[in-house]
Amino acid sequence: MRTPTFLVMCALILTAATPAWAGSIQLRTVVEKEIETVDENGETRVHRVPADQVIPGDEVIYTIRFQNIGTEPAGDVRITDPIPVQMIYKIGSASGPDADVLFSVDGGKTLAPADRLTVLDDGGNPRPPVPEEFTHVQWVLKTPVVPGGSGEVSFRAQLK
Amino acid sequence: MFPRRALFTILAALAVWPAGAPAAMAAGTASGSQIDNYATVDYQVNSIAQTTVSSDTASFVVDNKIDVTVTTLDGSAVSVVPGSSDRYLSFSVTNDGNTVQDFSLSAAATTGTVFGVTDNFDADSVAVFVDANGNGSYDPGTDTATFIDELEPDSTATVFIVGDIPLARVNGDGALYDLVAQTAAGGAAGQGADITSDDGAEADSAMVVQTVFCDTTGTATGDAARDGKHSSRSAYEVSTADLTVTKTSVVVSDPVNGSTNPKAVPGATMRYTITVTNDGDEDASTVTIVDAIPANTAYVDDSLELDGGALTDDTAADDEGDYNLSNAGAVTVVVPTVVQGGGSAEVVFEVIIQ
Repeated sequence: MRTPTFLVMCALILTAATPAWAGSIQLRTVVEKEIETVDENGETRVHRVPADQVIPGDEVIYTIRFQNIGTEPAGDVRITDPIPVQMIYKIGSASGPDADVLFSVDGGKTLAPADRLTVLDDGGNPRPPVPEEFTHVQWVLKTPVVPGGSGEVSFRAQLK
Repeated sequence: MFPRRALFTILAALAVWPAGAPAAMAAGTASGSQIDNYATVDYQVNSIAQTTVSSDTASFVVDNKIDVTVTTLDGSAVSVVPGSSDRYLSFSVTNDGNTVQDFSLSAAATTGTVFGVTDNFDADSVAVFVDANGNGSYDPGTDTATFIDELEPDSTATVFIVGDIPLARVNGDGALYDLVAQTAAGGAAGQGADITSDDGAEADSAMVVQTVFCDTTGTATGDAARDGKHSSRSAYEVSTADLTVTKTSVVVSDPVNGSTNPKAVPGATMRYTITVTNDGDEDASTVTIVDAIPANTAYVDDSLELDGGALTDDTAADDEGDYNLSNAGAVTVVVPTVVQGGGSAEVVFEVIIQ
């Protein structure tokens, strides 16, 4: 449950700490495609470029880079990314250092690990979800992010 | 803070999440759609929950996937009779891309073999028309459009190659054609310009709609994969009668030997047998046989027969044949039908050697 804003502000005045409303964590999201190129030696190399000329069926990589720009460690960090409606999450592609990954199939109301997700079929019986039913990805970092610390999490999705 | 949290909650509440997997169009997300994504982070400092922070937004615009498939609707070669007109081959053209397109159409005569028919002639006055009323058959005067206008993604149009068959063709002759559909610009009235190159070699431009060809190789010469066009092949096959005529004669009797080993001497009776055989793939109708009796012979009255049945040779209109009425000095027999596949008709008459 969230602490109301005014209590936070009072705490800050008392402790003269960094203003909470400045935001200690900075996030950057990028979307990329993997391109295969053949170098001079005839070897195929895979590298990433900003997503472009994306057509239905293509796969893109969403990468979220975070950094603690404050002066205090940030704990219980949860990064949540809603999967765009026109994209299909690629099962198993969510990755991040030292993080538990949770997913939602009900629009973000509930989150659970992949192997505990269920949806109800037409008869009201629970079944595992199909990739199209994933609506959110959430990374729960297991350790606090120290001031100046940074990292990135990512997942892949396919354009419908 | 409150507005952001409220926004997140509202988004979750408005979204509809059906239990069944949402159906996606086979052609995919429409071009020009902008796909936005941003993440949010919740965290605590000194065990105090902080304001949710949002990332910037990562966006791209869905590009124009161009993909077209042409398939012939003919399950076998289209049977045609020499001299017939407005005979047609049928094809479907499907827009497998994600954008409304026009398609230019052309018929390319080609050599080779399809449906067991080998090409050895071209039809006359060949044209291409779109099936306007969707009834699957060519209606002259109704199916008049020569290009496909504004075909939606995942939609199909029926197209005909129409031609006239020359008269001087024989059973088994073939004429092969490829229907070529070339992707053209959609989104405006009238025929759009052909799109003959895509942006595959162009520099990246994330927020501009670019084109990407995804079609496969077609049957027509020069129709490669990823060139914005596709083609399929069908054939006309001439199916007609194939008549051969044979004529034999035998001496029936002579004044000296009677009917025992008769000889062809003056006064002898000769019997002529004319056989018409149809080895073709269609019945022949109104087969007219005219045979002038030889010089130095005289026709034997009441000797005219068709398939063993006597004909009245002195009246033309009452049955299939006559002598010396329809054609002077000749036997004329009009056979109503000589059936395909080996059917025959036999005409017999007799003369006396003078």
